[in-house]
Parts: sequence; structure tokens; C-alpha cells
Amino acid sequence: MNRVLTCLFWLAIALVLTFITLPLAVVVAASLSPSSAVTFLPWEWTTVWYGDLLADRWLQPFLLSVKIATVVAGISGVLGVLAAYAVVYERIPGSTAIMAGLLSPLSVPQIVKGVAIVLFLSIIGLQGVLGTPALIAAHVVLALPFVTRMAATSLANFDGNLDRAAQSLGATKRQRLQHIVLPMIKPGVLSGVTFAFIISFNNIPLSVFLVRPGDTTLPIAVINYLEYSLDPVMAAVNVASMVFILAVIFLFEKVGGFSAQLHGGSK
Amino acid sequence: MNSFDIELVSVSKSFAGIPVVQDLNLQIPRGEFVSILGPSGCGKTTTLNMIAGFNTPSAGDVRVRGKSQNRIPPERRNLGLVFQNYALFPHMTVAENVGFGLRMRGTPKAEIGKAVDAALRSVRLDGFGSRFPKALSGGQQQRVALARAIAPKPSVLLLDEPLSNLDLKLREAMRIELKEIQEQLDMTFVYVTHDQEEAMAMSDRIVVMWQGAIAQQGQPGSIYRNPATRFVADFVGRSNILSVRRSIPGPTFLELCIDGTQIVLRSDCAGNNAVQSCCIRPESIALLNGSDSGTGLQNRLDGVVRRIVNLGAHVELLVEVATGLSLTVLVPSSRSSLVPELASTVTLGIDPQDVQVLSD
Amino acid sequence: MSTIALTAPATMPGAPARSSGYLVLAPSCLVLTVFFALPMGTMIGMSFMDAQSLSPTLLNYQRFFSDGLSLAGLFRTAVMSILVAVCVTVLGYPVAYYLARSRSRWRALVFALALAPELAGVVLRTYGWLIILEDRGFINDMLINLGLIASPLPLSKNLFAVVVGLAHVVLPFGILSLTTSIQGIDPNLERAAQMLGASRLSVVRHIILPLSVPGIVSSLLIAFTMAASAYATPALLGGARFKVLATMIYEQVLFYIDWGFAAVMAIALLIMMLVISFLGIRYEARRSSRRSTREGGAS
Repeated sequence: MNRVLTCLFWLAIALVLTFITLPLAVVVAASLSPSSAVTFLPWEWTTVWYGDLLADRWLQPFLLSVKIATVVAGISGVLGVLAAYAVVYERIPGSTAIMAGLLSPLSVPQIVKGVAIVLFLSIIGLQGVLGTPALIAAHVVLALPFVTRMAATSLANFDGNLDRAAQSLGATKRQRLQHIVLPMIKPGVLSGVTFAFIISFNNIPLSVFLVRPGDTTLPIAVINYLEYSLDPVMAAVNVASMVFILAVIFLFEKVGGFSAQLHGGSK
Repeated sequence: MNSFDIELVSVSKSFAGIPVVQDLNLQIPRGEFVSILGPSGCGKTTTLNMIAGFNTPSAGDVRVRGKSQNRIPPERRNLGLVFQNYALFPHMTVAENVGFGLRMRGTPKAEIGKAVDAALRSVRLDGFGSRFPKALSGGQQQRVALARAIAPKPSVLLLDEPLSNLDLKLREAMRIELKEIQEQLDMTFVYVTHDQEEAMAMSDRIVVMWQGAIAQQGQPGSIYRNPATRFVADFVGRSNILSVRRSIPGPTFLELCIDGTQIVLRSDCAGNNAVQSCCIRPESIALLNGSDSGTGLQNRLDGVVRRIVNLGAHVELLVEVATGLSLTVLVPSSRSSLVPELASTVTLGIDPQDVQVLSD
Repeated sequence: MSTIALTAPATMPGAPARSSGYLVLAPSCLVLTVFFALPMGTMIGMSFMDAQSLSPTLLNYQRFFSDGLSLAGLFRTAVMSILVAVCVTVLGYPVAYYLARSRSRWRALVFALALAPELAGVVLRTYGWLIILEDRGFINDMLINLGLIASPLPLSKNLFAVVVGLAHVVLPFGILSLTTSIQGIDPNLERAAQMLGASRLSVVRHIILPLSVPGIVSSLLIAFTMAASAYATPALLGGARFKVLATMIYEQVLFYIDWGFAAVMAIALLIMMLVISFLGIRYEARRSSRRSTREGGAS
């Protein structure tokens, strides 16, 4: 009986892991398949579709997505750290309420946020702002609470005794912030910034209302294309996009070592 | 040949190539209260886990009542286990916890109720059945863990340092209770601990483990009086351990020349001329005043008192008897008039039967 | 959503600096006010207004409750989200148990596999499912070639496809939540049950499952909220035949340009989410209060 249960257990895990990896494997395989009909099990491999990647149709949105994601990551990073600093480190009064307010966008679905923003901009006559500026603003609203929360958690876990020790050795607040506090919360902040980049780059529900023809992000360009055809080029685009994200994470990991956060810091 | 309740036959266990238990042979007869005593890392918990079935021996056989357990999973061994952190099921009441084992065996509800009541009564927790573990104190939780383990009437009860999370007074009280319960139930107890006082107080037999092997086993008194090795002498109780440079066997005694000094001690132990060290318990060293000449055979040493530590019931003296050699002496506080002053000269008397020869 | 104790550790030195604190907080507050608070307020206001004349009216709300389509959409969204929540929790549980208890070297690999799809992005995964489930996709192609069926099974552009796609998207989060919860269960409890004679099945039934209920509830809630607010996956896998609130809102805004009505739908979705979150918080609160009344008896 025990053995049956154990077998079922391992079988369940195998099935679930297969379920998880199946679409990914399929897309990678489709991107290498020569036939334009998207059937599986290609018998020949080709990278012809990857050649299409540099076409304007994909390159423009890709570059725009990167630009927006970088700006968003930067802005949310700075604002998030400042906000966390004010609430957690400086302990300004009313911090619970303020933090709740700063995190409140997290409970609102992205679609709803997107609708609200596009309505707002139209009502006050700022339709011209749609496209890149609106996207940046909306993505910041999306990412900021995450970054704030991650920075706040990092700060909350920071051992105040270290700061006190520095104080007893004569360091001013500015020196302490620069040499003690910021370096110690760096992993947490960097994961937040990376996270902000990724959710901005991959974002759809929010962006769907804010793009303009010619001024569109990569994921939106992809969905628009998908509504009409299932070209294998899509597979190549998607795979390339994923590789790009992995490269970004790898880069950030090198710079900030936030796997330390994963292994040591996370609870 | 007796059928032992527990028998370990040449049991060894390695983790990732590192041996933790080496060729262990142990026999535990029915009804005995056996303690496995040793410092952390000596292999005692691993041994217990092998008896329970959570670790499989790398070599050797674990037998319960003569039957080999190597292929039998823990849930079919019918042994009880009391965990160090109690491991009470937080989502069940005390009664449900205690009745769990019987429930797993398919015992009818009415019988479970009676057995639970009996188990709770034997740990003196009558009426606690409907409470939840979170609402109980540490000592009460520990007793529920005990009741739960004994309710299914296992052949042997294994206890993994069950008292280590309790404070001192409670621990001392629980030692007596545990021993009483064991005698009442006439159950075999295998008790793992690092606390030698605990082991001495409760056990019929102590098995001292070190570095994966048995250093010595026997009755508490005899282990205390006649430790076999340096480790046992040092771990069980306190002792003065002296290195021996040369040993001269005599007709009824052994003469030990203490290394680094001119001191010669007489010992009643049978021995040969290859003795390496000896040990003397601090409480067996007497302070002789001038007129008291002691018995003729007693060892006499002069020394200077270097340190006095008040331990409450006793006073501990550090007496320098030779350059580089000091002995710890324990004097009862009730005889405060006997306690010498710091830096004064004293004469120590040591009976030859208190000079114990060690094998290493 | 988890609440973190974001109060500063008591060891933070120095007196609170009010002015510099508020100053530093200002940019965040500004951004959120202009791009979040104000738009939300505007949207709520719009729901009470006629889209053309901008005069106050309850017509939008009336329409929402009476036109049959909107309520059907709400219902469909709820049903789909519940199905996704259940699938995610059921599928994720074995993996979570393994991740929580295993100490083998494969654990890191399984962990990476379970979470990695999250990095691939929603579009890639949904596209993958499209390829698999389409009429001319992988499954149908294979079944037809093997002669098992004559015409393709309708596996896409319906509830089934959306549930499968969303379950896949949300699964990593469910696994993460369940793993954390199971890790919180003392492993000695399982061993104690074993010593008392419980078979593996009994240990799961009597010990593990009851104690993972909070984690299961949490996973269900997270999965529900993520599924209900999803757009891309239902859009691609549900198509025109299976619409959820998110896709209907999109239509209203960009095709019908009926902003008042869109606002009502958006508010309906928001309310559904808030109700679920509220239920979750109440469940948490009731659990902790039940625990503390039990502890009340400790001596």
C-alpha cells in the first residue's frame, strides 16, 4: 500500500513537471521547425525564423520594451527605496497607514488600473500622452509597490545594531547610509529592480490600453499578431524574448548577487 | 538463551562515507531501563533512530524480541517513541493525540476511550483530554507525549532526550516520575541523553557511547566508581585524571608514578606495568589535619590551596600538589570549619581504593 | 496578500526625522496619486456618467445587471477562476510537498523547473498552449495521425483551454505558496504518527492534509485572484467564444468606446477581487484568534 502511494506520488510529480515544461518545449521546437503550419515533431531543424527577428516589425517593439523597462526599473527602484527608507528607517508617524497606501495598487487588477489610466488621460485631454510616456507612468504604478515592499522588507530585516555600532564609531547618518545601510540592502533592492524590469518588459494587461500604432511594446505586438495567425516566427520571437530575460537576470545576479537573497535572505 | 527485547548485532551506520556508528553490539533485556549516554555527535541519536526505523543500518542487524527489523518500516515495529520536542499533533486534542496509535490499529472507539483515560491517569493528567497541546505547559506536553507513546502498549519505549527542554526543577521531578511509570508499566525503556546525572538517577544500566562505539556499559554505580577509560571518567561525574609514567605491580596493590612529578600513589586496582593514567574523584579526597594520621595505607599529599569556589552544597578547592599538577577536591559546605584558607598548606588523604586505573 | 510587519526594528538608532522623511516620500506619493488614485477616482466617477453627455446617470449600472451578457461574463469569470484555483492547488500540492521535505540534490532542479516558466512570460506559454490545443495543433494532429479520431477535438477557444492555460501560468505561485506552508509543518509530527503505526496514507490523511489547510486556502486565493484578473491568456485561448470580464472590458474600451460601461465592468471585477481578499483576511484572522484562545489556558 505504501509502495503504491509512493509510486503515485512520483508519478504525479512527473506529470506536473511535464505539464509545466510542455508548452516551453513545444515553442522552442516550433521555432526551429521549417514548416509554417504549426505542427509538432519537426523532422528537420532550421533557424530561418530567427532570421526574421531583426525585422523592424519585431525590432522596434523590442527596443521600445527595453527602453521602457529600463526607465521603469530605474524610477521604481529609486522611488521605492526612498519610500521604504522614509517609512521603515526614519519611522515617520502614520507609517502603517502610509505603507498600506503605498501598497494598495497591489490589490487592484492590472486591467482595472489600465482602464482607469486611459479614461483619466482622455478625460483630461491628454490623449497625446498615450504611447511611451503613458506606458512608463503606468508601469511605474505597477512596479513601484513591489519594489517598495521588497526594499521595506530588506530594511526591516536590517540589524539596527550594525547602524548603532557605526554610530558609536563616529559615523554621521549620511556615512552610515552610504557605507552600512545601502550596501546591506543592496541584494533586496536589486531583486526588486530586476523584478520591476521583468514585469514591465513582459507586461500586457496594463499596456494593452496604452499603446499606439507604431508605439507599441513587444508583448502587445506579439498578441496582436497572434490574433490572426500562428506563424512559427512567433515561436522564435517568444524564445528570443525569454532568452533575453534570462540574460537580464543573469546580469543582475552578477552585479547584485541576489541569489544570496534567495538562499539566505528569504524566509 | 534469553530473548532480549532489543538487540543490536554488529550495527554500523555511515553517512556519506563518514562512519557515525561502528560495529555496535548491544542487548537490552525485558523490563530494563537503559540509558544511552554520550556527548553530541557520539552516535546515540543515530542508534535510537536505527532502532526506531528512521535510519537503516549500513551493516548489521537490529532485532526486536529476536526478530530482525531491517526490512520493517517504523509504523510496523510497535515501538513507542517520545520526541525531544514532543511532536504533539497541534490540530488534535490531548485525547485524540493519545488515542492516535490505537486508532491507527483499528481499535474500537469504546476501547480507545478507556485506554486513553488509563494512559492519562498514569501520567497524572486526568481530565486533560479535551485540551489542545498549545494550551499546555512544557511539562504537561511532555507527559502527553509519554501517554501517547505508551497507550498502544508497545513492547519497548524509546525516549530521545525528552527532558532537555524543561527547566531544572521540573527535570528533576520528571526523572522520578519517569522511573516510577517505567516500573509500574514494567516496560523496557531505552533512554538517550547527554546528561549524566539524569542517566545515573534513572537507569538500571548505562551504556556510554563515544565516537560511534560503546566506551563502557554497566550499572550507574560501577561506572561511576570504576570508569574504564579517560573519556568515561571525564564524562561521567568529575574527576582528577593523572598521567602515569610508570606503574609497579605489588602483592596487593599497584604503585603509580605520576608523570612529571615525584608523587607515587597506591591503588587497589589489579593492574600491570603498562598503566597509562588513573583517576580520583574529587569527593573521595579527604582533608587531613595534623593530628589525623588516617589509615596506614592511605596516600598522603601536601599541597597549597590555589582556588576556592563555593558551589552551594559543596566547596571546590584547587590544590597544587606539585609543579604543574593540581587536584580538585570537593568538601561538603556543612563542614565549613574544615575549609582552609587561600594559599594555606593542606594535607590530602586518598584511599587506594579510590585511585581508579584507566585503560587509556 | 501577506501582511509583513513593516514597522522598523526597535533597534533603529536616532530619533525619527520627520521632515526629511516626508520629503523623501513625496515623489512616490505624487506618482501614485496622479497615476493611480486620480485615475481610479475618475473611473468610478465615469461609471456613474453617460459616456457622451457626461451627465450623471445610473444607466450603466442598470445595463450591467439587466443585459444578461455582463452578469454571464461575471459568472464565467468566477467559474473559470475557481476551476483554475482548484487545478493549481491539486497539481501543485505533490510538487510542493516534495520541495518542502526533500533533501536530495534534485530538489534545486525541480525548484527551478517549477518556477522557470514564470520567466518565460505569459505570451510564450499561452502561445505554446495554442500550438498544443489548436484544431491543427499537436494533440489533434497526433490523434488524427494515429487514427484514434476522425475530426479534431475542440480543445481551444473554450473554457477548457483557458483553464489549462491559466493553470499553467499561475502554477508557480501556487507551488511557492504551498511549499512555504508545508515547510512550516514540523517533520517530527509525521515521524511521531509513523511510530504510532500510521501508514503513509494515514499520515497524509490525518496529519499533513489537516495541517496544510491554511496553505491550501492561501494557494486557492492567490490562484483565484490571478486568474480572475488575467487578460492575455483568456484573450488568446478563449477567443471570441469564451469571454471573461477582462476581455469584455477590453472590448468596451477599445471597440465600443463605451467608457461608462467599461468602468462599471472594471468596478465589478475589482469588487469581486476585494471580496475574495477580504474573505481571505477574515479566514486568517479567525485562525489566529482561535489559536490564541487555545493558548489562553497555558500556565
